[in-house]
Amino acid sequence: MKTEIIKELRYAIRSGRALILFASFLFFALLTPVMLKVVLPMVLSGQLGGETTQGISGLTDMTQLDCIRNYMDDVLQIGTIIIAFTLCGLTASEIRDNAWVLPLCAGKRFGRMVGAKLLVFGVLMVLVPIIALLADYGYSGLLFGFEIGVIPILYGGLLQGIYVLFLLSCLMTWGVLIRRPIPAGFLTLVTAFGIHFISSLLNIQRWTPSGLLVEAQKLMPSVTPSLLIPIAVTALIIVFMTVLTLSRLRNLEWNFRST
Amino acid sequence: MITVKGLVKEFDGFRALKGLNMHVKKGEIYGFIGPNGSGKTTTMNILAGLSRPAQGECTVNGLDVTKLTRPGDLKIGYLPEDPKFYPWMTAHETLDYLSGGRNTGHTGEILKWTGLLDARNRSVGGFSRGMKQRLGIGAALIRNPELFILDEPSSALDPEGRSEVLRLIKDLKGMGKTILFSTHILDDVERICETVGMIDAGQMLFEKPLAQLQKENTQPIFDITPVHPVESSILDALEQLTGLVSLAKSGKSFTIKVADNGVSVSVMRFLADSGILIESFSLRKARLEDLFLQGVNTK
Repeated sequence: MKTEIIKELRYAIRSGRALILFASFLFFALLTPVMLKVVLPMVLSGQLGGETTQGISGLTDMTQLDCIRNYMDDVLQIGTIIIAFTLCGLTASEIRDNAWVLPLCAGKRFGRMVGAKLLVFGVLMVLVPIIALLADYGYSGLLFGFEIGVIPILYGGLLQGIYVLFLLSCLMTWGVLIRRPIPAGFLTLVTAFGIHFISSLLNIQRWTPSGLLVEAQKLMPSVTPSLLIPIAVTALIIVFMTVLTLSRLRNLEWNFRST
Repeated sequence: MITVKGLVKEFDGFRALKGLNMHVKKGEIYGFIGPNGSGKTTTMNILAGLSRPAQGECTVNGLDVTKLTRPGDLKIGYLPEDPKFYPWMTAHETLDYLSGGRNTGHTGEILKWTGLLDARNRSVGGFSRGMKQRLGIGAALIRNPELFILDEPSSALDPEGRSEVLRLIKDLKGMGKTILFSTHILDDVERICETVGMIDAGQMLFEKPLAQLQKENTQPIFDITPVHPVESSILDALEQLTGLVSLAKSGKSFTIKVADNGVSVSVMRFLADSGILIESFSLRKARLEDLFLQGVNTK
């Protein structure tokens, strides 16, 4: 499996996918504190006329914790879209372009090919939210003053990372099922936002992957029992989707002419 | 090496293969010819384990293709019509990836054999079509298989690229490998194949050794080129020769059709007695292109 992992690492780096994801998450992580500390008071002062920026800052009473939670909210919305369209071709493009024909004939196994993708992009997808959240924590701490320790941030980032793993498995499954990158990205968005919307409506978030985001925003200093259900549910969904992906791959016909 | 009996394949109700039979012997180069859409690629995809037939028996390398779960189990070298590589990988990385990181020495040998050693660190995305085909043949050799299935390896290449690909195929034959390759370029088949199979509309029209095919279809036609133009009175006299069916003149050359090959002796004697100096006197061989067109038109 070593060569499959190296191949995915090369792809992540040379195609610029890793850079796009890191840059996007870091951009929002660093932008949120500036927006809340500088831009928002300036906008409000312009609208309220006469009130100074410092006075508005006092009125909004924004803290580091509020700033971090604001960023985490943004990540759910914009981050999901960025991930969906950056990685939508992970399996769909390779199948549609017949890029797996030579590897399959050379004896590569579906499990290893899919496993390597999950591993490389999974690690990347866990690291990106953690690093971005740490950057947001550091910068918001400098602007608003440090309020909480780094451990809750690491927990929060890890939970976001697990949620992003769910997005990744969605992308891979939809990619294998419909073999078209952009529709696979759209369907992943529909799945992720659909689950989030319905679970919020029915108040069953802890039984869905969206529960991870709710728990992440609590920024708890340690693992709480309430975390176990969304983690277990998400893990089960990821396993189910991976099995579905592999099963579909085994039944596909290869080297077809693209229409 | 390959035995196919009654192979049927359907796509959305369309029968691409209608009971195809085929037999490829160990150690031979088998040329698989047929018009566009006749079912060549469909057959090769099934033989490579990439597609499943609706009916029929198909044994490759002693394995029943219909019972395979993975194409790689066949241990064959397969080159698709349009091989797709990762454009961001170098040639060396591509072969290393396909070999699973095993036997890097073999990878170097393959790069040298395919003439890509100097381009080993260049991205495949910048390769010409000919270079990609050569890399594809190299990739097919990565597991050192006994059987190679090559789908149109020399199509869309310039004469130099074609010649290079044919050299590689002949080298494989020299290594004792069995090669099944499809092509539109009948000249390539005549140059390197031992057996020819022609498919049309999903059925095998004929499958014979090339030499036998040429012998069976050789016409008793002689192309004669004299050193100097022959007077028409001599040609008129020649036309009266017993056993000569027809005579056609083209420039200073002329073509005669005879009842049987033995008549050629009387023709040569007549020309010698008439004091005609001969530049060339050759029996016309049956061209595969004629057989191809004949086969397609008969259908």
